[in-house]
Amino acid sequence: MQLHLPPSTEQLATLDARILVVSFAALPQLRHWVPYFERKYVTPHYTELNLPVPNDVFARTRFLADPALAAYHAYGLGRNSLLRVYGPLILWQYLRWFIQRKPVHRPHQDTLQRGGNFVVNRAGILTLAHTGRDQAERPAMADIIAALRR
Amino acid sequence: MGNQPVLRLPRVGQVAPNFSLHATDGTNVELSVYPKPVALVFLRHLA
Repeated sequence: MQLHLPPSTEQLATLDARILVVSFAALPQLRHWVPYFERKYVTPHYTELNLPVPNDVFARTRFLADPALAAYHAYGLGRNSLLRVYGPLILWQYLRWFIQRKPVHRPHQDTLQRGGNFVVNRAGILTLAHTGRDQAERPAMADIIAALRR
Repeated sequence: MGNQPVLRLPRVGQVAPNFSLHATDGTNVELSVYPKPVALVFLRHLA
């Protein structure tokens, strides 16, 4: 989500970069989720920053459905162990969200599927590959922006 | 887990593995012909 908040949005515009968000949800489900994601997660962050949500907040983003996991597997993303997914950092994060009254919903999908972040430059070369030890570990925005410049 | 294929994480400096997927806007995206630098985010599940 940091990719959809300032100052990342300005940096992405300067680089003329795009965001491809890949989900293993089916296309209809993903279509249904995108406006929910904006309403429940992106808009509140803009509100906290006292900024209006741009009409084109997803203008540089495409949301892609990969229910067959073809792209996930091409990028080495299989399934995690239960212990790794629900380790102490994740349980702490859920507790913080609960205390902050942030929405926490029981997922209806495979919660063990691994995710990841990658950056591909204009020449089609990987300049960042990050899967993280667990789902709480994401690359820093500065690292993603730096990789987009390479 | 038993039937999981052997997967290999691609490394920095390699050609990015290609894919072709349907987007929510009704278009098809093929990475290898995408003309822009791209941040790829593989979601774990829909929040």
